[in-house]
Amino acid sequence: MTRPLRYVPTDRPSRGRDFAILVALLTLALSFATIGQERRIVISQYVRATALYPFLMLHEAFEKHAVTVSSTRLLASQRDSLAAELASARRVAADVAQLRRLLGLGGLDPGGFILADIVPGRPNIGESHAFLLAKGRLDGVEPPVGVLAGDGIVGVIRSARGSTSIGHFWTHPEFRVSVRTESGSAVGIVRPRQEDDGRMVMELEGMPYQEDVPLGSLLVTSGVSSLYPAGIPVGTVRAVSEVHAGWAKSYLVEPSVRPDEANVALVWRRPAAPE
Amino acid sequence: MKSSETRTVVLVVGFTLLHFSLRPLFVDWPVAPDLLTAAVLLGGLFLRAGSAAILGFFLGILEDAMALGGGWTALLYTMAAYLGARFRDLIFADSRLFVPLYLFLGTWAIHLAIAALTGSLDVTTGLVVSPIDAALTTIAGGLGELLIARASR
Repeated sequence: MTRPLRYVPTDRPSRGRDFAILVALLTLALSFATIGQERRIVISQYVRATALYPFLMLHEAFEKHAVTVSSTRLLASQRDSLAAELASARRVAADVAQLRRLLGLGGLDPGGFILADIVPGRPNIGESHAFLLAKGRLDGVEPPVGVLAGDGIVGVIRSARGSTSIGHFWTHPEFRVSVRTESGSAVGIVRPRQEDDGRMVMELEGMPYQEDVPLGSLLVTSGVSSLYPAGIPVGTVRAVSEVHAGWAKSYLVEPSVRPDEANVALVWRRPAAPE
Repeated sequence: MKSSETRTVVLVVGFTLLHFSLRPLFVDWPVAPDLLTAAVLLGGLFLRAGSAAILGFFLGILEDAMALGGGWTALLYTMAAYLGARFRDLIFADSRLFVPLYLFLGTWAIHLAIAALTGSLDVTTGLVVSPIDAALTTIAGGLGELLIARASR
């Protein structure tokens, strides 16, 4: 059995000194509590930057680890979903190839994608609508061509050199993409729009007045312009933004991908033209 | 330094380091052991009242800076450490039940005082959350003491 912690007797003569220390510390502590919020924050920040710094670094490391763990779980679940979708897509592709053969049509080249990193902070810090891609003409990038991320449209490549390309995010004022609803019931053009709070969203503009697009509808690329493959998610219809009496309506669209979420992109490699 | 004093110093330092290291974990739990309060109270067991008050003041300032709170923790910890040191002089402390009871009542009293000063004192906080926190703190203190006693053999 271990002995319990024992108290340490205090000498009587030191009690007066101890009480004086207590009074001084209580005065200091009371001053700290009543010094005012701003001054207290300044002192607190100094303590955080010195004595508490190692602990705050440790907390940051814990947080990063937690984010990494949750990202890994998310990626694993996305990978599983993709595997399931891929299996079903392979069946559809086989059916399509068989039907084309029966109809006497040639093989169909759907094109492909070039995987590329978006270089952060480039080409110029502050030019928020442009991005630099770490793949160029040598890798098969042929501008103008669409750039996608896993969840939808990111933007468009405007110019390409040997091993780099420069593109515009969908937030660029000149960005336009031809879209349709998933069911194909409505088609239109989507452009960027800045909300009152400065947040960038999209706008589906010029829809016929008598045609209602259900809120929550997913808009996908129509594939008309040859910049983007058909069927890539662009955004979800959120609300009616404008009604031009009697002839047209516009809708606010929540984008599928925000520029700051895109680190890796897929550049579309168009299918070869039939000979 | 006597062996029980060494063990108490290790407990105080260890609990302080653990408290600040595990803070993000504990703040998400509805009830949690308050290792810093345990360190302050244990500090009062072996330090002179003046030194205990200094320890309480500095640990309180650290806690106030970490939590960016109202700045009352330094005041409460200074008082608690000083009173703890005085308290042990007034009663016979060479009992196995003394430290657990001291930790439990001390933690509960400090939590009630913090809740009262921050205006968050209600029946649930005072009679459910605080006693459970105090019980967990007592268990943590007991476990810490046991581990250190075993390690120092």
